[in-house]
Amino acid sequence: MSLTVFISGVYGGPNPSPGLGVCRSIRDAYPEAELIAVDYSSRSSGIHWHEFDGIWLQRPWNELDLEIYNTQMRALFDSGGYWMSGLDLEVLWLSQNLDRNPQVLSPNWSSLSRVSKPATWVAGRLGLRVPSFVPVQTSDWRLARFCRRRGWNIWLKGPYYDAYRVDDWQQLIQLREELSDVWSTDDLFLQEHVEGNEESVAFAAFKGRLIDCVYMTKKEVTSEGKTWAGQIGKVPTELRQALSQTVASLAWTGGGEIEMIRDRNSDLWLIDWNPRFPAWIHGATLCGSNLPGNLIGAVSGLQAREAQSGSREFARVVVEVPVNKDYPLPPIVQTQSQRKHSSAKHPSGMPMLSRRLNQKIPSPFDARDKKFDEAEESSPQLEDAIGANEDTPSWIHLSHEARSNFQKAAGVSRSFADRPFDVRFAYSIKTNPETRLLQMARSCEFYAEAISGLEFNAAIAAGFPEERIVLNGPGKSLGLRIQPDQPLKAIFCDSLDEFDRLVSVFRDGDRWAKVLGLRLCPPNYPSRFGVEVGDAGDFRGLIERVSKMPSKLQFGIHFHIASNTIGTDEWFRLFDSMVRWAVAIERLSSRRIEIFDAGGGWHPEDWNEQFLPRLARTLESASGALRHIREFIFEPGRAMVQPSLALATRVLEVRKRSGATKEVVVDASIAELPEVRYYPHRFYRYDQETNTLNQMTKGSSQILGRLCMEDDILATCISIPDDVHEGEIFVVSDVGAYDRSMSYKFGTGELK
Amino acid sequence: MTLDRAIKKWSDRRPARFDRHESLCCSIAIEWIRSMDQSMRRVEPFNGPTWIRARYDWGPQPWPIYWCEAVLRSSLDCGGLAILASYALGSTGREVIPIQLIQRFETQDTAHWRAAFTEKDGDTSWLTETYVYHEACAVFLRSGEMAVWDPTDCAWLIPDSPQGYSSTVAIRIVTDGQVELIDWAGFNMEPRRWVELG
Repeated sequence: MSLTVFISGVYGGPNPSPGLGVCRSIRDAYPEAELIAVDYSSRSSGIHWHEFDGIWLQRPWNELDLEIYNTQMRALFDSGGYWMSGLDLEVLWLSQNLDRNPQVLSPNWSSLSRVSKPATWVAGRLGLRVPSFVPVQTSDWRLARFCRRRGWNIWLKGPYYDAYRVDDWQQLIQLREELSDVWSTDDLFLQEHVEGNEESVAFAAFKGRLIDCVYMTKKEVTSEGKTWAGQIGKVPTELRQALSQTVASLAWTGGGEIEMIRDRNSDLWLIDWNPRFPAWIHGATLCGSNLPGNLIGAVSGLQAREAQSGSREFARVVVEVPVNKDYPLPPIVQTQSQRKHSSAKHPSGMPMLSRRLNQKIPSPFDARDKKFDEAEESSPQLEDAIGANEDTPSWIHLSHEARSNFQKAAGVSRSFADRPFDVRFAYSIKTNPETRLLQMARSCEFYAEAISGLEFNAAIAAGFPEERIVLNGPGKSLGLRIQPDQPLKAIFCDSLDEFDRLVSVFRDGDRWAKVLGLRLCPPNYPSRFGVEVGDAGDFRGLIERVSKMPSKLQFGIHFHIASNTIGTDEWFRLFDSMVRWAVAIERLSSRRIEIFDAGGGWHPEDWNEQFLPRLARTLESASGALRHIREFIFEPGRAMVQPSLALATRVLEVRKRSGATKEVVVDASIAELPEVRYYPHRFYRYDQETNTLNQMTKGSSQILGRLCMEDDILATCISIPDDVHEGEIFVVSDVGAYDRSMSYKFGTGELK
Repeated sequence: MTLDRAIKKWSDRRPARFDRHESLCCSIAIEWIRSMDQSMRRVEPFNGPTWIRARYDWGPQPWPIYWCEAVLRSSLDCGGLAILASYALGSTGREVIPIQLIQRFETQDTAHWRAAFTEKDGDTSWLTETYVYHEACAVFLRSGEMAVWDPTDCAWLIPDSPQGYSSTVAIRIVTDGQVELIDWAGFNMEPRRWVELG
């Protein structure tokens, strides 16, 4: 009895398709079989592999008449050929068009709909955990919060292929656009990264019966995370049983791969369920488990040659092969952008197929993920109406927001009154030096944190007494005039050199501050500030200096890393590690640490929802370690004032395409909103009649700034109603911190 | 040289240790290691103290050496790296013990190492033609199980790894405890004596 197998997806590059491995495995099991390579581009290098008996090369997916292709395939199946697909999207297409054809060795439509990313249904069946995720169609505000809360340990994933690590908001925006473009869909999602070892299960099943499965532990990976060497073993009994039940309930036919991460606690997390054999499948065959061969055996009833086992590990090598003379290499294609869509990335044309299939595939997040579509927070309450003739762009004060934040912090500070140490908050003047905010901070018992003599003067002008001013930063001497008889609360030195200099001043009798401290530069974080305790020599130098500082001076420690860049959990871990350094310094120098000052950069939501609720427990532990501590100082940074200001801007021009609003130009710009690229801002339409703001939701339009600058784009992926008109007012919230303090004059015909 | 003879050669060898000045300098060095470890290690105990190897090259070093000198060096040998890793892993309060290993290489490898260590007046007693003496450390997990961390190669070792080039062929668990068997990834290991693997 003859055996013919069509094997699709045979690209053999650094991110290979499984076809070549499937071919080699079936060849091992059935030396006489006729194996035909199928792909959609002559760039797919595996078509030249010598173990293929023939090539059935198709035009790219965008050129295929799918009905004709369907008919051609049926003819192949009628003549007895089997089809083993190595392309996820082709599997999907087959399930829609050739479902239940016994010659197609891949799963059906209903099976696939249950295992689509992020595969929560199947994970539950297998007893695997799923990393937290959120669809990208969720509002940008929520996406940013999802990322911050996870310390930006985040993957951006496409619906079928591609996953990128994202480190910050700018990168997320850029990759989101690229990935949406490649796969012609917004059905992307963000998923939390799980630290651990990568492990996989490959399996073969026929009509819901598990034929065989193997466990693979990655031993080498490429820069893209693809397997380059691995160890093959047995699937643990419990997981095998769960897999067997799962494939039965899915009535699964074909190969499959479960990609997992084993974390530090040995828990397994499901990363992907792939509806085809993995590209490393021949590695398993070399180690004695020929899954493609077993699948063919189960389907055809033909006796397979037994797999030979010479090792339990496999490695990949790069092999040059002669090109089949009937399929010469095509010329190198010059593309408009070398960076995007290179033919080597998706040589089988999956993005093209995606474009055609997306019309039929419902979003995986449609119904079951309603939790992601909760209404946004309530819109800011305007204190005064915005006049129709108001000059724009103009700042709108939302003083109640700042007042509420300052008062809440003051309440927290007072709640520690019965402790042996004080808890105080310091307002960083550079965040927004407006006098009204400084006065608000002063009246709520805040300290003022200044980084220069000029800021020191601003604090004095706002009524702060010297004893409530903390001086920090590398350039604090700029414009500084301190009266020795009115010492500051504390001065934290940015270097050992500055510490030496100030100790000399203090030793000479001038007492500029009650506390002289050092800013520490935390190891493992990129920062130009503070003493590098991560350098053993500098740490020793620090101990020697602190040991010798005048006994009449109090000593303190300061560190500052913005929580909104490293994530809240990571910030608390950093806090604990800095307490550990402080304890070491105290023990080695025999100098009491009386003040511990920690910053900063808190997003308002994280401050209220994460920092304040965790503060008491954190300080219980820290004060237990720092036995002589008298005061903890925290710098909330932007958390106090970011919501306290909005920007009113007027629509200058509405640009429409096909009747819909494509983009609008407004009279604000990155000069007023310099932070607009670094975190999402919320945009509102102003309703003059009701003096209310209506939040603009996710969409496909954009808001452009007024400047002739390429990067003056204020919002992308935003929905702008079609009835928007020139002259109406938009409001941008969340601009009360560095947007305001770093705003500059530009494009106005004036200098600063 | 056979493995038996290699084991005999290193039967009396003790794990490396740093000397300690009575003055503050060596205390500073030890505190620095412990504080650094808390700052650098993200996930404990899964992630070993990889930062040590990122900071120190592997290479010859003088022996004996004081703590305050060792931490300031740019390179340390496997014994020096194992000491730092022991203190780092131990900073979380877990019990950490020294591990002695014998690994198999090829004659061409040991020739290079002998030349490199000789050139810098380093110790070469860890070398034979094909077997080399190596040091690591073990940390006891909450389950009571022992996990062996090789700070030179930055890897957790497993007892049933395939044998061959660069593989660990023998291990000696150095402990003063009275325990007779120690669980290493499901394998019961007898401490205080060389145990052949594979």
